[in-house]
Amino acid sequence: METVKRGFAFPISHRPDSQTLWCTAVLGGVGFILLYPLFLLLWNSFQVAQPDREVAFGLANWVTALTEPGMVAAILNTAWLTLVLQLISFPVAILIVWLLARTDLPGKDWIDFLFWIAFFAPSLPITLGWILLLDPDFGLLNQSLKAVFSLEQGPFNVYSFWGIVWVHLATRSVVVKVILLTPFLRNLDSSFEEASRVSGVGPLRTIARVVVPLLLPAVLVVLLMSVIHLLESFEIEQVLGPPSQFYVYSTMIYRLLQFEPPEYGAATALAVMILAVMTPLILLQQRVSRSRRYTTVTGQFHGGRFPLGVWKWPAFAAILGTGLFFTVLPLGFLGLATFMRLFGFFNLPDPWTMDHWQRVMGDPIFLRSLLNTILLAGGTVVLAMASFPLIAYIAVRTRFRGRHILDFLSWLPITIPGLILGLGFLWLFLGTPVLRPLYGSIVVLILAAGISSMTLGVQLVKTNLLQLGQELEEASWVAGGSWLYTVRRVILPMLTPVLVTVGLVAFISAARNIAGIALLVTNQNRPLAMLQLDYMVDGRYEAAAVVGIIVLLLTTGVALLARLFGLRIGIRT
Amino acid sequence: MNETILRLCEVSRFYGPVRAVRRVSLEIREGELFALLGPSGCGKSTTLRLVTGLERPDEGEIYVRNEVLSSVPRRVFVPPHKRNMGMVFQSYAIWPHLTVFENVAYPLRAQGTRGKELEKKVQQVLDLVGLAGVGDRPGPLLSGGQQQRVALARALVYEPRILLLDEPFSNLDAKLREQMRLELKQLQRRVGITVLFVTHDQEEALSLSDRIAVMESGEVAQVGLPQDLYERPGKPFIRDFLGKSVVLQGEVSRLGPDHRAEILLIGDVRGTLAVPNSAFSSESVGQRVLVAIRPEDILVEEGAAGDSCNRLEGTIAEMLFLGDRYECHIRMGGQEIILYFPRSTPYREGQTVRVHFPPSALSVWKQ
Amino acid sequence: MWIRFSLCLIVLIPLAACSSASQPDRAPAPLVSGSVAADWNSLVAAANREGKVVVSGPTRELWRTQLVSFEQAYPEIQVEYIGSNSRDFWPRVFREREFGQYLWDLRVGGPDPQVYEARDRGALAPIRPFLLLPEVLDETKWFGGMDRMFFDREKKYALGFVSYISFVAYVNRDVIPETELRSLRGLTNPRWRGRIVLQDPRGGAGLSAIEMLLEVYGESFVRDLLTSQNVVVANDLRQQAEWLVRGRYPIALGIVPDAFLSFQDQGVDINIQPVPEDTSAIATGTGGLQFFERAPHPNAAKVFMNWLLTRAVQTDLSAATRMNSRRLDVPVAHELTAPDPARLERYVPSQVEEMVPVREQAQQLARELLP
Repeated sequence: METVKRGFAFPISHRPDSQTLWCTAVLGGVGFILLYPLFLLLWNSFQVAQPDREVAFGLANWVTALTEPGMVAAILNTAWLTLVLQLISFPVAILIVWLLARTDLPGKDWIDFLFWIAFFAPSLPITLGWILLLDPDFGLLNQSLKAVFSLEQGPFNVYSFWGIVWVHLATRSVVVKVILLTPFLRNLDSSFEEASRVSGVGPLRTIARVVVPLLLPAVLVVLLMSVIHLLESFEIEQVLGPPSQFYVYSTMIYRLLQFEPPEYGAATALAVMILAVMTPLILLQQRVSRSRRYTTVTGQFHGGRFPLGVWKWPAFAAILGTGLFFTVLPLGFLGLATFMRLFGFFNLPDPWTMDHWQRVMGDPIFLRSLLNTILLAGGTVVLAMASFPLIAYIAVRTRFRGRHILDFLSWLPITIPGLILGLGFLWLFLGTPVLRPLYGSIVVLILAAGISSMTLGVQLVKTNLLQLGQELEEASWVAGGSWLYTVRRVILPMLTPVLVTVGLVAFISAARNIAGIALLVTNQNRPLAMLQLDYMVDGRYEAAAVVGIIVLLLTTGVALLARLFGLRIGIRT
Repeated sequence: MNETILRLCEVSRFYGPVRAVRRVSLEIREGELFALLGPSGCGKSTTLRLVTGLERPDEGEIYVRNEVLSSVPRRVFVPPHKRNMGMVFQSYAIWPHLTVFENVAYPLRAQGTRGKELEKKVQQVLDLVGLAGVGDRPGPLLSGGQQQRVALARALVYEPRILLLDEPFSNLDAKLREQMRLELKQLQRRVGITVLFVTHDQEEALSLSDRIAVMESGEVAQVGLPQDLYERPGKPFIRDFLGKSVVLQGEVSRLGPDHRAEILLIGDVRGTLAVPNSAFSSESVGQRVLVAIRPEDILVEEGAAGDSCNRLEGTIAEMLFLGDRYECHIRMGGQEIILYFPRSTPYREGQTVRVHFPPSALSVWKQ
Repeated sequence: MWIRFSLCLIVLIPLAACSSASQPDRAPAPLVSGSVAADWNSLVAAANREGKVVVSGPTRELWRTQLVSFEQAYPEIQVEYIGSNSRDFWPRVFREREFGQYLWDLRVGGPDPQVYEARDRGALAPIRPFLLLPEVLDETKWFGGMDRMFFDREKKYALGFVSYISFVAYVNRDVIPETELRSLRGLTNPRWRGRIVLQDPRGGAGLSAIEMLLEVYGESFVRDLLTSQNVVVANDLRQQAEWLVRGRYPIALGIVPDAFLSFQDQGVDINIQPVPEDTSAIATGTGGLQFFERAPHPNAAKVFMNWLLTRAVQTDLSAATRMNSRRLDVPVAHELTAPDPARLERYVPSQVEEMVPVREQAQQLARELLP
């Protein structure tokens, strides 16, 4: 087989290449939207506030950020937490994914959907739920174990490093990997695994030696995103960290913004450093993905299934149990929260109430917020499905010279914490004459939410594209299909499953986005997520949980709709 | 002689420092089955892709009849979807989200054909490739051979001028491969279409094609009829790539009458061989050369060598029974050659034999 | 699947329909007589023509409902209310103004340092000149007189209409009996190591607590407290309150009574008392008001600010939020934190501009000593 690199640029003529023009336009647009706020943020980080309210150019903010007390400990904590979490969640996730995508496990389809619901569940109320169970003094689990085994002290302490690890695992870490990797594994031509099995290698080793390497681009992407996500997640750490004084990098950023007045300069410095650290990893991932060895779906796709034999039902029970653990349990907590007067207080004279539901629903701005959320999420889906495949395609399939830059740009949004990104958006929309009239409208929120979910969306499409052999497009060209015709009849249909995923992810991300839009909301465009935040800040956890459930129902409804239309994730076999 | 339908003039393609295709010139005649043959990395697939327009050449021109498909000096490039060629990819590239029917109908739909006419054409070509009843099946549910037929049907349905095949049989098992080869040849004869195909399998190229271009390192080494290439390879590379050869080291000892020369064998095998002289002059005497012969041209006789012309002594070291024949290892001096004998052969292991190298079958190569 | 989805819709819609928002029955617009009437009426007429007032305020639904009820008193003026906390609000306002967008009329929020920054940038207009109504201008009706109502140096930009005693520490007396920890000095007692939870000292009530300790007991005391007592920092009001109520951390610094009173509302039996103080801080919390320069609806804003400070409105507001109004003719909403107007000298106004240096120093200390 030819080993010469095949890069294809769909050439039209030697005249100004219209494809190059289009690509340049996309690169320019995306570049502007991302780099302009980033530049402004960076510039701002060098603006040092002087005592007399003047500003001067200097490094003081950076120095402050880096010498913030507790920074070293926070960095170490973050590194340790990341390492432990990835080491645990990855093998678990890969095993689950393999069982779901490559074997004849019964009920695969709806178990898969369970994990999607788990993905939709809001993480903060679930954290509170775990506190309910594992609080060292009042946790239900601890109390019952104490009673049963006559212990002095409950064995679990959720306010600890392992408590934080546990809650991460129980909310996001494993679930995200499962739903992102399953479609890729489904697209894996089973002949690779079959070859391994035939040569006598057992299934587990086959997974390790054959499946994982073939999935390498997808795994790298997921790994990178998990790490970045972890670097920026602070909700869980914020709630569980204080008693043991466990602080992470993102808490440091958050705390800088909690000052009166907020120290955006120093916080930006910290955020930019995430980007600096992540850049080599992103470049590495790009290089790995560029190798063409990963084409797994060609015309000869063969989606065989590994027979589990005697392990079928035990595996089924285990996976079902895991799926339920990630869904029923958190949903139980959520439900509990909404119907209790005070979440966690069981020994009140009258602990259950419909009051919170009534008050939330009866809030005058509830309906408008709901509508705004639907508009916002819906708009983001449209934006995502129109633009992310375009960016991914340019990055992967063309020989446009700027494609690597475009690819790198697509990683930017996720590396900047939402709180900082929000400020950047504010500047972007206020400072750009074209965008300024939109300020205050829902369009601005849609753009902000779309940008926030860009990284994940583009990566999803990219990795899928890498799996689809280029010959499938080339065959269309040779057979007489123009580029547009090829897009319509070959590329889009084959991308449909991943587009559905992208749409769903964009939807949920938009419905839940708080930090990125907090500075952009007005009365008109305020979505439910802000209402939820307001309740949380007000200390009304129960009302916040009501909103959380409503958002969850909304997204589950949308996902079910997608299912109804027969849109599955993966190639129809 | 049919006229030239496809012409490549000094076509080159570079990937940075790598010269995948170097100043390749070819003329392919209408109605012929033309093979591009060569080892991996020789540029044959790239050449094919240049013809289809999936790659743009850096130098040279490509014509179909008088129409320019691409010309670097004239800055012309016709995109693939306008070239009206059919191509079967190595992986067949059957679209998994379409049925067999839709796969084949795709090019027609792209051109705007609809309805009854479309159906008729698709059915016709499906019949042609032997897939009459399979129209409704989804792409991925076909066997390898069936997929290849679908790919063929798709390539033929819009009656292109040229059919291009990229290693079409490499993914099939041996039996199927032979069957498909035959079918392809028959199909081509029936339809009369010009076929250009790429392969690394010399047996395939020899058996199928009307003419072969052997490529090496991006260049065309030799173009010719299969038999000519086999019997009179122009370069050592071609000699060794096509079929097998027994090669002996020697030195030109003297030139004789009747256009003959005498080669003194040095190296592992000793003796003298008379070869036909077409290229030697008096200066050639003393030159080191290689003498090559196809194994099937070597004759084996009983008895010791004696002094007969072009006969060397050898001992049968081993005879391996292969079922339909024997694989016989004959030791001559320090070298061992492998010949094949029919099942009825009288020879046995350990026997001393005379190995006869008919002069007409010998070719001499500079070392 | 359809069934499930429609069920959800069926469930949600009636719930939304039922139980309409409880808007307080707002008294009609105040009747004004005398010489002020003409000015007031023409102001109201001008405000009606503007038709709208844009107010930013606390995110709590309670506040929102109260402040939007302005529409009942002045039906021709619509209130566009956006709730946001000051950390998000002020940077946004500054940016907007930089780009020539003047979108806000009023801000209901406490006088934190960004308010003073806003004044310095010229974003604020003075409030004092525009207070018209007699009941608002009556000196005797305000705790400490009208001068004390304003927190900025010039006494005209940042107004506070709430005054409550902001006790430094509250103790769960079910866990720590009344006989112990009877003064703030006791906070550094090693017995209480690891039993103290402090609200985020980067701002708000948490910072105010440290500020008071610094002012009254000095820097070495604060250092001692923050380094050796293993003080746990809570980021969340409710979390801190719950820890206090459950006794996990029986001593809470920088907590607002409303946070744990809501537990009591829901039926939890609590016994939480402030640690007695000789000198206490008086704060206005989020009960402050600022008026923007180049407001888009200045007249409506002026009507609003006067309306906000009337007795009727202050009564409803303080009853709902449980924060005592600064007005002396309004019933006390929360006994415990009601300051005594006869003993002014006992109180330190912790949020005035003069206290900003102390506040900054406190912030510095906290930053340095708390990881």
